[in-house]
Amino acid sequence: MKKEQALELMNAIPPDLIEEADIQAPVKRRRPGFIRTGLIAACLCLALIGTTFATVRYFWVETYSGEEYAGYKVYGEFTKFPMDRFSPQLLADCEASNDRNVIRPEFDTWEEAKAYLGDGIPWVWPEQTVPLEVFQGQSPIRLSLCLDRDDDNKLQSVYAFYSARYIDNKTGRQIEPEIQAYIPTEYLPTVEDEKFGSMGGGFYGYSGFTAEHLEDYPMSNGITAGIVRVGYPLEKGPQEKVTCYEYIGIFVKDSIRYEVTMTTRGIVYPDSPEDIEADLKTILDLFP
Amino acid sequence: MTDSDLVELFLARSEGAVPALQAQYGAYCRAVAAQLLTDSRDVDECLNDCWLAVWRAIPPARPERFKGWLAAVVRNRALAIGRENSRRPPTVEEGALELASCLPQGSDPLGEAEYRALAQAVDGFLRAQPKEVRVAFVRRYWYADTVEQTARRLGWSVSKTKSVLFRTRNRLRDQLQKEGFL
Repeated sequence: MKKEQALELMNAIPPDLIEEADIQAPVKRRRPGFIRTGLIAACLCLALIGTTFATVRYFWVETYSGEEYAGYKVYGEFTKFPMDRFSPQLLADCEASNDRNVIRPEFDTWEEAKAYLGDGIPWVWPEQTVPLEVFQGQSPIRLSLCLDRDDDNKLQSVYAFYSARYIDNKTGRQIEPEIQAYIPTEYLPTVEDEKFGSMGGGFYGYSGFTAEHLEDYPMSNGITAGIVRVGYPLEKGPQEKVTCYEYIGIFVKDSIRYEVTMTTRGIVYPDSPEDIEADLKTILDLFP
Repeated sequence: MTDSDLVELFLARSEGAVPALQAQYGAYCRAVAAQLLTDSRDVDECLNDCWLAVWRAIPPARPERFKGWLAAVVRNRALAIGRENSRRPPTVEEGALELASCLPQGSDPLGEAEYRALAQAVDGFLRAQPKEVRVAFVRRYWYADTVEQTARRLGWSVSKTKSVLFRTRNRLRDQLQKEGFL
């Protein structure tokens, strides 16, 4: 079927489904005023206590592929964050929630997102430096709070998402990373006697997907990131398939797992895999 | 103003019908058109044509789901303008190519009966999907959102959105195969 016919066929989607899809993006959360007082106190506490988290001494990445699945897992010896490290507002929102994983606040700046998370959480983000500039805007920072409903809405983990478009003024390339951070809490279940716990990973339960651990990359901040490449088939047209790739840079800093994902841009504007891997390393080197 | 009130204004041939329509749905219609057209002048032309089209259509039409019906009017006109002027955002082409690969092959246009049967099959398939999957599909292939825009609307990561769309297209293809369309 040609493109135009496909476009016309979509005309047949009935009005109720068109209306149903007119949803709004999750509401942005503004930092409420009362947190400011709490922030000052938290900063003083942090200055007195200092960081009490052991950095992860060792972590590694394993990939796996089969006929109907592919994926990767990150293992390491890591510390889980106690509840008193998170902000009072976040904890109050967890307690008030009546559904699992429904809390997805958004923030316009890293500072606001971090204040909501809690200044006791050593979460970092890529520092923007010349010649890399934000281009055509960036997404809000989205947090996703994962609650265990069987245990009185205890917070098991927090995911943070962010995507941006940068332009490298030296090369003229547009770089579009998606950055995720995974923060485990004291309520995250652990397998008994497992010294090196799983810090999560990615799983793709579809045939034709592959996952390879390409290399270990030494970042500018001294941490070594594992670079994984996930390949998946995409049909460009009748009888024609292309393979698209996601390059994922994975590292752990202060018990927080970070993933930077770069994707070849599909069938209309294919990027060279070498350029995408180089772009990934550029972003990894921006982390403090 | 409810949609019923708006339709009544058109049925009564009231002078206030089009201004009320613009006030109620102007921004929404502009957003629909802007996803399908690159030039803001084309968007303006599209909307002006649509206000007139609605005035001419009602009566005799009495759309039950007015907002969705209106969006379809805008989409059809925007696609036609894009075709006439050969100016469309790349995301429209990308989405259409993705979708075309899981629909019946062949270059001949579909006959009316065949089109209706296929449309019914696609509708049945979509209604059997979970709501979020259905929304993702309609945002990408009807509203022509980019994958990133679709992800943002649903609060998903881009990689999850791509996976869901990929899997949904595959299931659609399997369903159409079972029903004898492929």
